Amino acid sequence: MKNHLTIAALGAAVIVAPVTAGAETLLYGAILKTPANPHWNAMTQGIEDAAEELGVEAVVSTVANEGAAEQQLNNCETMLLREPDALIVGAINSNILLPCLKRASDQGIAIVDLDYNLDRTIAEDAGVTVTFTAGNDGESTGAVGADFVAEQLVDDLSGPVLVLEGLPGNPVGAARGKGFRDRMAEIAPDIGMTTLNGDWDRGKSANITNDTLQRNPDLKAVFAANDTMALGATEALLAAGLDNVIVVGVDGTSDAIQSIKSGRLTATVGQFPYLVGKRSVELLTEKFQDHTELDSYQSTGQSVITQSILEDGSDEMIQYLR
Amino acid sequence: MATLQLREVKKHFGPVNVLRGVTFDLHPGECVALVGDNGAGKSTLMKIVTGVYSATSGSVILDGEDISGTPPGAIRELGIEMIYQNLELAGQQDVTANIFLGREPTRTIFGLATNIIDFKTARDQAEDMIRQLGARLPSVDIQVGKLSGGQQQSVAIARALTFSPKVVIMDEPTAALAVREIEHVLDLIKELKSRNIAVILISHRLTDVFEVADRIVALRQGTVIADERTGETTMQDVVAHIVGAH
Amino acid sequence: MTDANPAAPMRAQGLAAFMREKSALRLESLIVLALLVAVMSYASPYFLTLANIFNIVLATSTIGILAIGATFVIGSAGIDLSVGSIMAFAGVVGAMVAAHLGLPWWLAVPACLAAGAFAGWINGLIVAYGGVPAFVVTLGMMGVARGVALLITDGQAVYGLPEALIWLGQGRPFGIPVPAIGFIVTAIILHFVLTHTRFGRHTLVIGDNEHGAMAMGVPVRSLRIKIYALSGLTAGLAGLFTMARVNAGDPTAGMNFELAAITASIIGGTHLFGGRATILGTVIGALIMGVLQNGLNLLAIPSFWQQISIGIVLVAAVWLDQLAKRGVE
Repeated sequence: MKNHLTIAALGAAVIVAPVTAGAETLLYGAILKTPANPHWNAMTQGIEDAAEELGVEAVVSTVANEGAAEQQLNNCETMLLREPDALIVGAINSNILLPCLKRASDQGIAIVDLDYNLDRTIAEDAGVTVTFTAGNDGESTGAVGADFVAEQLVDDLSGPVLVLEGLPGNPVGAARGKGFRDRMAEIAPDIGMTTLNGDWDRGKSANITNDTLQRNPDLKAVFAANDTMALGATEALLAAGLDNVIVVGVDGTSDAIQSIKSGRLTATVGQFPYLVGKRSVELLTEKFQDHTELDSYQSTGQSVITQSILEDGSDEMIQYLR
Repeated sequence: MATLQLREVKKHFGPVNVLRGVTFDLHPGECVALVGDNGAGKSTLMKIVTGVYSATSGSVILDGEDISGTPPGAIRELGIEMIYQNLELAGQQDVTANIFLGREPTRTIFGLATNIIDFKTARDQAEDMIRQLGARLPSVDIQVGKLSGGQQQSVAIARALTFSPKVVIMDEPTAALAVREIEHVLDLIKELKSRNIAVILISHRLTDVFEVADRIVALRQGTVIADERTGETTMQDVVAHIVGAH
Repeated sequence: MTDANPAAPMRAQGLAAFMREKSALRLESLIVLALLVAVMSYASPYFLTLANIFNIVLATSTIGILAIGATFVIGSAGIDLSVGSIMAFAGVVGAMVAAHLGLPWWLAVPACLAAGAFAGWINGLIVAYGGVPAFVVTLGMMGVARGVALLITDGQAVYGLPEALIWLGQGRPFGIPVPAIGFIVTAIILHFVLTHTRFGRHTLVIGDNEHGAMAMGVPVRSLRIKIYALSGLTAGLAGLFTMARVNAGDPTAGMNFELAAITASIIGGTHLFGGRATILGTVIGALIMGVLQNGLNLLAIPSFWQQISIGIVLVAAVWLDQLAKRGVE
């Protein structure tokens, strides 16, 4: 009996809250991945900073690890109880959240997809309306990486080049790899490229780099779909006495930045997750307060960060590094 | 003086009283048969003597010294050995390893004791022991699990006798053996008695009991219900003690 | 049995029988390794070179060192699911000591080892005295050690180690990578410990017949604590080499490595339910996995296939063993 009362009281609180908090305060629920990943920490910071600036409320929920898809679904269901105006979603995979997001769509809640984690076609088939996607699509990121590598190798575009993707089956890693290969093939059709899965893991990427060196002792460049793998590759190359191989990662994590500063890692294609979070909240608030029509894809910007850029501060984007 | 004295040994597991105060003596060169129905408390009593369990109250006295609560390894050091019904051998280890289990001879290096096993000493002594027992084994290097039941029992016996024990406890040593092998075990018990070693024999086979035991102690529901010299009782009486017909 | 003949001739007949008797080494795993090497050498001209062999040993060293610890645990009929997490925890602790606390770099070495051994010791304590199954205890430690590693680093890798420490992971005296040397030395020492000391002997005996060992006076509880502490210690060592190699204490390192370590040990002939284990077998098992990964990397075959092939080799190795046993009987 007591339990029933508590539940009833909770229900009442949820229903009453928006009214008592004032009808003007917008509430955004963020459903993110694990805080163990610095990427999502920066994203959280961006969301919270923007919310404070704009006087809106943001509630962030996270999960224990990259694989905790069900936990994320539970977080989403719980979030709906708060009756938010929008959900900001970094989905672990493209399917698991769909039932919850469908209900959110039906209730007229706006949905923001972070980092292209939701597959639009699948989402729309399931009746989910995505308001906009914030971030950079993997293929464009790969292409930016390819442009940079090609620039560095301009005197000899024969390769070989090693491409490290993430866990097998992960669409982000695959898209970044594909973007890199496609752009590279446009610039230098004859360049030799090998693609392997570094599983987002430092040690595994170091092993793969070593193995590849057996086959291609004249390795010219490595493009890794994230910084962790790029750092593993960098250390393996340095251990093998090779300090002139171009290594490019993606993200701009603090250890990657440190490594670039100390002249080990060549560069990273910065994704500025802080900015992704911040822009999501800003755009949503514009939409609600000014009734602005938003484009369905919102690029939040990416740029190649190198040692010289860090030293002379020539790219204003680096202020958003976290 | 008695080698082993049990004084008012009690044991309960939670609310269950398994031993309600057991007292008897065992003298050098004497074989006492411990009989009783399943659940009478024989195994629990022996596990207390060997240190696997500790008694709730009462004492176990060896050569005048109270050894209650001593751990199993130390009890063996003091000279009490038990040959379990299931033999408690390590089937994937060789004969030597089983004979020396828990008491592996170690080497000293520059006068310092180490944890390194002295395989040569162990193997030589194991071969010696097996030869003395007249057991026929293909090799002391063979895995015990590959030996026959009788051969495995020889290994268990060799393990009990290698370190000159004062008391040897045998739990149903003849239950799983062929007639010829049973004779061998009974001869062995007589041999131990002649060497002044005290023996506790747990057995359901009363013919064996009457052949080798000097005294028969019958347990029922955790108490000693009879303690008689073999020559002064009959098989019918003992059966009556066991099943509680008196 | 009543024959008075002295013990019969003592030597088992034939080399295969001899190896089986003395070391429980599974010839099957050696054959699998040889076959793999042959296939890879045929498929890739880069495979069978001295540099690549060092390379394979280097790549195998982390899983190999973990698998050696796992061999003691599984040999004692236990299981340790926490070594991947302990490895990350120890690496993070070592990296923090060297990079953040301003202490001399070499203190990172005892810090890693102590952190690993400590976590393992806790495992052992709860298994031995708490009566909680090892599966549960180490499953818990898998979460706790990983969580603590993430907590003390705030989820960020501790990057940027002193050069001297990096040498432990990246150095190549005489062309041989330091972690590979560490792996081989660890294997030799722990092979000796398993086969020649009372500790090693008792480890296998409690895996075979725990009750019997207890009755014979083997101090089973303190032995279990030592075994899990040893497993933690090897995980700490693996964490040290990995950290030094990638120049970072990464709290997300070693995900699922506990399963890879168990796999290597089982492929190498360790009996899953205890009682039988050899370090040589485990090293071969780890090398089989290393050769597969290296070969498939050289051939640029996607890692889907690596997972499939390791799964097949695991089942095949155990199956071959069963067939061989049935053949003997």
